Amino acid sequence: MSNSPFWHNLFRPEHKERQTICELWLETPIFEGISHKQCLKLANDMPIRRYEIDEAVFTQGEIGIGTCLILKGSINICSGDKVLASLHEGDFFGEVALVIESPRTATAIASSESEIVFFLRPQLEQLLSQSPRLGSHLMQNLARVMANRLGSTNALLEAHHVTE
Amino acid sequence: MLLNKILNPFSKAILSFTFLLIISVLLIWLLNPVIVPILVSLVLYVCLSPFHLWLKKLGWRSDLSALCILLTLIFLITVPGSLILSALSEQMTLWQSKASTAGQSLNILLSDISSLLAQWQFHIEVDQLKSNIMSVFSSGDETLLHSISDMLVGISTSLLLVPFITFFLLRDFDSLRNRLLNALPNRYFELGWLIYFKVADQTEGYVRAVLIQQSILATVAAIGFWVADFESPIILGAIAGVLGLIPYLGPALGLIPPFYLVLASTPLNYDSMYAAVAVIGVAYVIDNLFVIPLIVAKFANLHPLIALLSIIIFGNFFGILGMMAAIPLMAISNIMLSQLILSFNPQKFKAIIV
Repeated sequence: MSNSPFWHNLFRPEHKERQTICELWLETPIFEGISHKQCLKLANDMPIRRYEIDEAVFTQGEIGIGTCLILKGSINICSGDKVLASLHEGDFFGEVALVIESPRTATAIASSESEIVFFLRPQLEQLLSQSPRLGSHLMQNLARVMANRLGSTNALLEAHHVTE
Repeated sequence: MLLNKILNPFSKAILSFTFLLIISVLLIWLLNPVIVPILVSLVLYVCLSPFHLWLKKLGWRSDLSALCILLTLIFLITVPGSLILSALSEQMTLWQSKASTAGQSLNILLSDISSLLAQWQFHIEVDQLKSNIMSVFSSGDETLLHSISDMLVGISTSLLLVPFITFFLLRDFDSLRNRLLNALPNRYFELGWLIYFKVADQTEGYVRAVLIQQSILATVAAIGFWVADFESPIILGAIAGVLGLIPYLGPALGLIPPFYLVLASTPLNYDSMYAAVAVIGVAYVIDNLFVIPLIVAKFANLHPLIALLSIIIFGNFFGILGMMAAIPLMAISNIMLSQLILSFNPQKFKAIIV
């Protein structure tokens, strides 16, 4: 019973992993140019969840509330039965939900026992209203990330058309 | 899993909503002995949290900032708060002692009305009507004045708990909330946060907007009563402001105290009665034409019929507090239910955003 994600999620020791979370976020393009102190402040409020192997982090079509960072383990991003990407510690996914309230476009499944940190949309909105400069910096980074992802998707589609 | 396959999204949403409702009712039942201080503390938390955030932004530690706010609150409650409450309670006792004079004046007033109506062949039972009206003021346990004084006594006895609950809410609310939401199963984690943020955002906005609205209403009414030369205009204005929390019935209830004062003074002065109607009327016209559309409307988007029915039903079960809580509770239920329906039925969501 003690290994169940429910008890782990409920009685997780607070602030122990915050430093690690902060360091992992700072390595992502979303937190580029953000100071360690500012990042730690944000990381303190980010919920951490534990997932068992083959457990869904989120399912395609569900409404998302934030982006996820892999603290431990690995995650498969799937569409139907097809695995689109395999992500590992330090990778992030589901960033569209950080900008708009919309259904998830793919399913994320834990391919090993994993721990995920959520950066929630309302946290970003709160940041935008309380520290507009920091908030807009994060938004700019986020826009860059999404533009890059759009670029790679376009390139993939183009390649797909050429091979066809 | 089997249940998931059998139920359609709407039934799933209704089932989840019913489950949440049962948990909320159980929680209210469990917290019943301390529900008033908790509610007052939550309202104070909503009002004081921007100040707390501002202090934290200035570099104050969270506990130090909460302590500073707590000390200010204790000072405000012990010094001016106790003075206001004792003045209010004295005024209530004085008003209740004038019940017999008010009864006699009411008799004269009703007789006048009755003879006036008799000219147009309308007949009313003066004694019956009088005893019905007077029962509101002077007898029985479920009377309006008793409800108001019970509410004041309830608030004043729980005032001691309020600063401490508010302190811990200011210091630890986020961590308590995170722990509570962490108890959700992984499957409903995102949905839980989504509903929480929507409900919190709407409720915080509603509480702040209503407090501003009631302050404006109370100020306008107090100025009006002062201009109309009423006894204790500030208390009358404050009562009108508090009763204004009850939509639709508020204006009528707000008229009771000034009418009562007019009836309790001898000789019976009809002009003061018209003045009371004018004051409350002007205060509510300003409230409905300017204050509500600008400040409150966006936070409680309910159909008037649903709002009216919920006020009557909640009032029947929980008295004046129930009437005041009816609109925000219905608005919260509305958000929860619609969010659950959208979450269990993403196709509908897509249709809405397209």
